[in-house]
Amino acid sequence: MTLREGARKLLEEKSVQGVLGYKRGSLPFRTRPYLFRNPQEVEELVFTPFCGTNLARYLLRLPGDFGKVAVVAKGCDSRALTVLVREHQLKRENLYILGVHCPGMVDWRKLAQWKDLKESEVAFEEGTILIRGVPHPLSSFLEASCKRCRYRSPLEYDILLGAEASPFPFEDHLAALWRLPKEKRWEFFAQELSRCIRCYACRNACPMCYCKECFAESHKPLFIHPSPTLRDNFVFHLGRAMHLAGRCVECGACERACPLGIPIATLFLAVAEIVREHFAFEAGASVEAPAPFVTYREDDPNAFIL
Amino acid sequence: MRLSYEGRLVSYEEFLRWLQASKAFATEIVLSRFNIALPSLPTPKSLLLPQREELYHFLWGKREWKVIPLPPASEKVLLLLAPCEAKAVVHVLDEVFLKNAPPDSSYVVRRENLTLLVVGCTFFEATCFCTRVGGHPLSWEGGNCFALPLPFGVYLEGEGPEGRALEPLEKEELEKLVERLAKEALKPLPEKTPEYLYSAFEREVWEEVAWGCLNCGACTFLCPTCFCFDLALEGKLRGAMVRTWDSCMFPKFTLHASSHNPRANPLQRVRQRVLHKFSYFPLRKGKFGCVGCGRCVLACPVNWDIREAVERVVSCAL
Repeated sequence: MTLREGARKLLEEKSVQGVLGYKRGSLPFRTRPYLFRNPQEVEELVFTPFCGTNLARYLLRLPGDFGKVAVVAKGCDSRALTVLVREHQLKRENLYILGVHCPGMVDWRKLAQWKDLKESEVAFEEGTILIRGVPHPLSSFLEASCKRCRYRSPLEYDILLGAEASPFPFEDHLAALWRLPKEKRWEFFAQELSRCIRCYACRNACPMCYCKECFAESHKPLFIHPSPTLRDNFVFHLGRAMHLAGRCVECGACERACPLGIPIATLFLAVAEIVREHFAFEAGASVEAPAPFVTYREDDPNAFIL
Repeated sequence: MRLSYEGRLVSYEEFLRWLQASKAFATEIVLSRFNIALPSLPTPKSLLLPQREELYHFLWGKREWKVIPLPPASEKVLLLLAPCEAKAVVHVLDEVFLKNAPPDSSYVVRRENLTLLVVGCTFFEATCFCTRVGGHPLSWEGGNCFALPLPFGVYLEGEGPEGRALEPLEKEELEKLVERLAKEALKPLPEKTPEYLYSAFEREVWEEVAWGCLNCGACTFLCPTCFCFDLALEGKLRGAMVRTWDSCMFPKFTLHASSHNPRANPLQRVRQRVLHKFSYFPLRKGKFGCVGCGRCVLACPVNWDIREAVERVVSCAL
C-alpha cells in the first residue's frame, strides 16, 4: 500500500477526521503541511526528501474536539509524537500514525546554486542525488541533523508504509565542535547568534515548544529585551536549550525554519548528546523509558554535579 | 520613472571605481544577482529603521530622572537596491516616517544621508511579483540613479559617472530586454483588490488561508515594507529607551494592558498582515503596502505564500 492509498482508505472509511501530511509548495522543491479532509484531495499528498517540517507541531494547534487524526510520520516526527503523548499534550488514542521511511531530508537552499532548477531535473538514487543528470553524493545535500540521525524509520506507528530508504553514512558534525576548546566553541556560537533577528521561527517550528507564553516574550518578569542583542540572543537560545534537555527529538526543524540559515540545531543536538551520554536516554525513542528531570532515583550517580 | 533610453553607458571597471569612491552597501537581492564585492544589507529597512535603535538614555540620580537624548547616528551612504526595494522606501517607509506629521526625526536624518542607486532586474525569479502590485523590474521611481548591468557594460541614468550614448545595436538589445520582461511580467492584481479584500474580512476562507502559518516573524522582519516597531525600556534605574522591530504575527503585538487581546488567535493575525498590505494601506494611501519582492515567500519556513492568500481571498470576493 502506498502512502496515498493508506490515507485515502482512512478518509473513505471515516476512521479519522483528517490526514496531516505534506503537499507541494508554491516554489520548486518546497513542501507545506496540509490537513487533508476529504479523499479527493489525497492526490495532492506527497512525501519527498523535502518534507522536513515536523508535523507534530501542527497537531498541537488542532481544536481540542477535533477527534482522531492520522499523521504522516518519519522517525523524528514519531519521536516527537511519543514525547507529546507522554507529556499529555496529545492523546495516543486520537492519533493514527502513518509511518514512512525517511530518505533523509535535503536542504533546498543547497540547490539554489543551480539557476532555474526544476523539480523534474532532480532525481534520487542509492545514496546519490542526480542534478541535471550529474550524480552528487546525497550526504552533502542533507541537513546536518539528518546526517547524524539514528532513527530514520518511525519507532511508534500504526502502519508502516513504503520501502526502506537506502542508507547513507553517519556523519556527526558535532564531533569537530566538541574537540574545540571552550573559547573557540563560544566564539562559534557568538558569531552565529549575533546574526539572529529573533523572529522566533525556530521556536515556532519546534514540536516541543508549546508553552502558552514563551519566557522570551514575557513582559512580567522581563527575561530578555525584545531587541536582538548578542547577550539576549544567547539567553533566548540557551533558555530554549535548557527547556529542551531530555525533550529534543533531534529533528532539526529549528534549523530548517531559520530564515538566516543559522545552524541553530547544533546547540540542541549537543544538549541531546549530553543527555544520551549521562542518562542513556533519547527523547521519544521509547514509550516507557524513565525521562530524566522528571524521574527521581535514590541511587542516581549524580556524576554531572561538579 | 521608467527607462528613457536616453541614459549613458559606462564600463564595469569605471562603474566599480565610482562605487568605491563612496561608502556603498548593496541589498541581499542585488548581491544574489550581481557579483559585486560590497557589504550586504538584508533590506533597506535595516538601514533606515534599524532593528535596534537607542532613542535616549536615562538615569535616576539626586532624586530625579535625568534623560540624555541621543542624536541618530548616521553617515552618507550609497545603497544599491532592487526596484522593488526602492519602491518600499519611497512608497511605504517615506510615507509613514517622513510624510506624516510630525516626521520621525531620526528617520529624516538617515533618509537624507541615503542615496538610492536602483539596480534594474533583467529577469524574474520564482518569488518575484512586483508587476502584480504596480511595480516594474526597470522602474527607478524615487531613486537618485539607475544602473542596469548589460553584457556590454552598465547602462546608467541619473546621478553617476559620465559615459557615452548607446550605439543603435545596443539600444536594440535594451529594447529586446524590455520586450522580454513585458512578455514575462505577471498581470497586475484586479484594480478593486483593496475593496474586495476589505469586504471579505468576515469570510470563512481565511481559516483555510491562515492554516499553515506558524506565526513566526520571519516574513515581517525580512519584509522591506513592514515598519511596525516596539518601544521597550532596557534597565531600571539607568538604561535606554530602545526602538525595535515588532511583528503583527506575534500574539503580544496587540495585547492590551487590560489583558484583552483583539488579535488573540493566529487567523486574525495572518488576516491583519494580508489586509494591512493589500487593503488598509492602499485604501488610505492609494498604493499597495507590498512591493512584490517575494522575500517573505522565500523566508517562510513552511512556504506560506502571500500571493496565493491574496488571490484566494480576492477570487472568493469577486
